[in-house]
Amino acid sequence: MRTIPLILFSLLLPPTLQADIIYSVSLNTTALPSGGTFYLDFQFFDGSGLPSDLNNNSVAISNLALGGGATTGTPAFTGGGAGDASAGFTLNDTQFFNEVLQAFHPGSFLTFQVALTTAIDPGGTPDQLSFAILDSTLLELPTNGVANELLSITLNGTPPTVATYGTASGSPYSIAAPSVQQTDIPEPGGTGALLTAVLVGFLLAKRVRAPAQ
Amino acid sequence: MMMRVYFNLLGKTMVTHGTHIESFLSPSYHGNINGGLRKSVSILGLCMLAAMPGMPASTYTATPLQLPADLADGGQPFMQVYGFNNLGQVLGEAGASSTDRRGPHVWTNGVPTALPIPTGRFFAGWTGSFKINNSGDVAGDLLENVVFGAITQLRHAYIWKNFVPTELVPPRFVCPAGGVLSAAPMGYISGGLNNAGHVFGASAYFYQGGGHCSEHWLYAGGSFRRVDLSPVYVTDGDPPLGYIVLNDADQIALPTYTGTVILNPDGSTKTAPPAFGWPTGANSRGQFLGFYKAQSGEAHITLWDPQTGVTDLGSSGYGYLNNLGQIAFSLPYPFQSKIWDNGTVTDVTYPVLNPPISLNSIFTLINDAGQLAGPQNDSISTKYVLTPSGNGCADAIGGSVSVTRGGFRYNRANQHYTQTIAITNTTAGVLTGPFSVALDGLPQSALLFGVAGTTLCDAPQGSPYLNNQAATLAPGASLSFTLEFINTQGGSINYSSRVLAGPGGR
Repeated sequence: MRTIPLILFSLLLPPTLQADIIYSVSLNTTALPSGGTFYLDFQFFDGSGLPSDLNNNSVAISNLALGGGATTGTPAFTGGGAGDASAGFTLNDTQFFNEVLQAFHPGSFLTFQVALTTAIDPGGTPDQLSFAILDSTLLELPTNGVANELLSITLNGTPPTVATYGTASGSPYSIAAPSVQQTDIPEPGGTGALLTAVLVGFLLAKRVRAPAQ
Repeated sequence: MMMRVYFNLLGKTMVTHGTHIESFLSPSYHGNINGGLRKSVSILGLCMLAAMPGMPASTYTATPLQLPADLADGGQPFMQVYGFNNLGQVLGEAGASSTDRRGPHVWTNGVPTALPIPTGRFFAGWTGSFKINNSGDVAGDLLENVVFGAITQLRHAYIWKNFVPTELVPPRFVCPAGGVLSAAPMGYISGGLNNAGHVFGASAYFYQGGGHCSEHWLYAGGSFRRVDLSPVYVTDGDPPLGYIVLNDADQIALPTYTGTVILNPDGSTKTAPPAFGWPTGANSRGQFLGFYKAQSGEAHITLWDPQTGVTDLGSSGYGYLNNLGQIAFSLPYPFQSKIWDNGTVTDVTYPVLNPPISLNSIFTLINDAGQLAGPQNDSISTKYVLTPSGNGCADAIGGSVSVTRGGFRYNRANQHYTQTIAITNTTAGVLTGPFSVALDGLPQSALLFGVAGTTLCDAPQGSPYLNNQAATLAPGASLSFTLEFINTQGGSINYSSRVLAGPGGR
């Protein structure tokens, strides 16, 4: 029962940014060998890399679930990547190339939530988040995307352009294109409800811990 | 004004340096053409240039390279060309026949500019060790007279950017303290400088009482990093041979006694098939040009594409590879220049009358616009840039299309930064193809992979472009291009796009 408040926490804790849009992403990963080591690769590119365009968008990756699998090791970051698998990752366009790499052992599915801001860079090249699965040698599983991505979210308007791709015919593992669902963003009035939920979670945790003391 | 043109027709001996076979020829024929002819072959109107670049040209027009005025009065003129880039610039040495009266030059539109030599340094008299890239950077080595034990000359590495020399002084990585430093770019035949402006070089520290220590480095983005050659050679000392090639992905092709080994930036290696021989050149497609010597003694030019294997072009002399994968090469005596393009070989046909370029001339310096520079087989004849001639320029249709750029993703599998770009017909009429997107103003560190060519007909010159062969584009319809960039420094990739359409030259 101790996990209940933690689940509530993870479900109700809002992303650490004021998101403009939120997506829930899910993939069927049963084709990946459960004992194998793979990597989650989140890349967030600034459009121009020019100082005038940097730091105008943020991404939060949260609610990572692996369907019986588990993350392993510590994540690796480039540029504006930060966080961890349990609390969630953040990616800011602090430089041209920003990345989070996290090793994992696959389970039957992979789900996560992506919350983004959607400022449009003025230079004509939009910021873009993309996601791929890398094999143990840190190479992408080949997909039908132009750069072996499974998912790209291009911040070129409202809503952003979302593209998904399955693995290519030459891939050693067959993974269908991810399912992406846009999720409602909590209304401003919902902040109080969220705070209430956090408080409830805190109290529940205290109650659960109490008998053990 | 008279212009002297010297042609060599008979070869005496040949010495091979990779695919660059130097000919020591007798000056057997001297011809003259007058100034009127010279005017007629002067700078060309760009709108007269080639159709359908990417295909070897069938005819050319010639632009002569002028002899430097300050060095031309020292007896027999000397001019030799060694490098050529997408801006149409030619690298060579010129002046008088005496080595102390000639120096390295870069010709732009036929006009020479001397590369300044810093005080205390002198030109070694052979720019075969000098390289020029597509930004006009030149890397080379200069000498210094010293007295240090048995050492009397030190070699110094330089890079000229916008004709301003900067000495490359690498830090000491592993060599013991003491001694004097001699540093120089490596790859005397080709390849010490790539199009990102990176230089592969070597340092040697000479110690009093004898002995020296060598180490290798890559100069990239204003800093040096050590390149450990021990994965390829038994020691990290001097490589056994001079044929070293640095490509745009910072891969280094190294000759060994059993063939060629590619040293990747992460220290991993890949061995070329034995049939490839030794490296002499590379392009941004990941292909390498090489040569081997057959049992008959003849040199054979080879192309190694790691995706498809080794192609043997047969008995041949000079050879250069461009970023389209085309090889301009020469046959042994009687000389003949040819262009190999994906298995098809086309003869280079020189302008017959205007000016009269000898059929035995060798023009194998080739750029991505299909221009050629030469002749390379002597040091006394007038040199030219040959520009493909055709049926006019493509139309710039920026006002008729909208351009939509996607975002970037780094593809670890090929280490390219990838972006899609779409053009949409915003007019009520049908646009006529084929269509090209040219990228102007790319940073030097970002190199477009898989180019179809570089602009020559539509200014500015030297911008890489990709093609889409669609015959038409209907109103409201779109075409997509996938751009892949080699960006070893990882910096931002900014450019202006230019959309060209129609059958004319780019």
